[in-house]
Amino acid sequence: MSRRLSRAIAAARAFWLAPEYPDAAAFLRLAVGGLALVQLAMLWPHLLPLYGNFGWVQWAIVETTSNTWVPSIGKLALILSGWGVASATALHLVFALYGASLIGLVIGYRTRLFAVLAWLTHSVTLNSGFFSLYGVDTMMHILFFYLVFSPAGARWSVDAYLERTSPAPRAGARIARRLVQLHLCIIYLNTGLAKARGDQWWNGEAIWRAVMQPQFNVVDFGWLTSRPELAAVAGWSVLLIELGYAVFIWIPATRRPALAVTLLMHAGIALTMRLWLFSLMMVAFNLAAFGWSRAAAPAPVAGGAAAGGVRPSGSLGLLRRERRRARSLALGG
Amino acid sequence: MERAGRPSLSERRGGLLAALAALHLALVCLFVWTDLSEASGSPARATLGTYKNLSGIFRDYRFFAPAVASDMRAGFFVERPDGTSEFHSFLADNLEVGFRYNCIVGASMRDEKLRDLMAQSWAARMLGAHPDAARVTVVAQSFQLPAMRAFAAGARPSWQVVYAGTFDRRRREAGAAAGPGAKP
Repeated sequence: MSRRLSRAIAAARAFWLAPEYPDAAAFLRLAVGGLALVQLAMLWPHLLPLYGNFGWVQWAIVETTSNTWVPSIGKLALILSGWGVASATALHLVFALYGASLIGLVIGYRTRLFAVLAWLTHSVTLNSGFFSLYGVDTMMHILFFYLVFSPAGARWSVDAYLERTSPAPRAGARIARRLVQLHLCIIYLNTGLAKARGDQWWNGEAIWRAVMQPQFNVVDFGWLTSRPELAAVAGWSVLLIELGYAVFIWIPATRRPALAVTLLMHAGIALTMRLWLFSLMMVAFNLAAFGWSRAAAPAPVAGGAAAGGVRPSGSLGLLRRERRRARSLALGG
Repeated sequence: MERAGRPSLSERRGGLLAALAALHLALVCLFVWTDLSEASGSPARATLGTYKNLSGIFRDYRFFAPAVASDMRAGFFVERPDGTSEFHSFLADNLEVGFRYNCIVGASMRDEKLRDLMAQSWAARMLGAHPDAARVTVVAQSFQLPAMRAFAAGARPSWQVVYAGTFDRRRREAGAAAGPGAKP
């Protein structure tokens, strides 16, 4: 019994704490920060109608429907009005701060500080535009939250260039990636189970309805009615991918196929429904979670379980150099 | 790294962080699969609600589930005192903004309790943007897509009015909503 327990503890330690390179976190920082900047550039000319006091959803409505202590742009504007700042100026100040934090995050300058700022300002914008949110905002916010706690600035950043941080393997990188991995599994399981309860996903009507809705409609999918079995197979495939994700992604033999079909599904969503930002965000989420290497740690964690052991799939040369460097650091320290 | 006996400080710190991470994921599961924090009232629930918002669990992840909802669209008939009028659609050329407008229209018009309130908000914006307008009529429609078999048999998609309400500038507070299903 005690041997089983110690084995379980060792396995848990290896799962959560085996040091790994912070590459996945750094990739996530670049991808999420970059996509958020693209989104902000698209939204900037439309901030007043989307988030303004006299936009489509007035602040009075936003405030009455909010059930959180997270501040909103309206509340911040009320405070700033004491200094004579107009509400539109306050709105643009919040988004300018958000944009500046995204730039800091992407270039990796004072990464932790700007990750916190990006997360907080994004929280404020979400709480101020609740009615207009869709999937990309949800995913972005989850990832901003995890970036705050991950060593995202340890690679490909100004901080790394200035040697403010080390690119060496660490337990923090492993914990951050486990969070991203497990949260992603929860997401797919949640959406898969919910879809499985609806008839539309079993008889193909969901696929038909999704591609025929005017807001998503790219080409005329009317031909699908002559081959309804194709829509049904597509619906079953979505169910299989989403319900199976949490299982097949953890099995080494099925990890790559599971990841590949999931990425294909998101490519399909982008192409047929024009949800480009959402799809790219999910691709980044998946790649950061399971597409990146789990490079072997130079030293095993307590309990004897070595980390990873999986061949790196990222930039091999860089990883090997970093491993050599990490080994010399570990030997030296 | 490995010590005989007590784990090192960094290992204990790592263990604590891992325990917090596991606790966070347990909360994610609770938020997603139960109605924890939905009920209002106690400060503990409000704290959970705030945590939910800050950590990105403010919604579940049931995209397009269990069924794909029908598109909604909205538009405005802006009427001047001389009787002339013009139509403005609640649409955007920008794809990203367009999705958000669709979310606003969908979230507003699918909730019968919210419809009037949101329509008033939109009408106020339109009256602000058109100072010469005397009144604005808000119209929302739902996309009716026939099932595949019906489509193959000749049925075609249509738009059904789900809301129409007229809002007068001088009597804005009266906001004479014509009610669901009524045509302007």
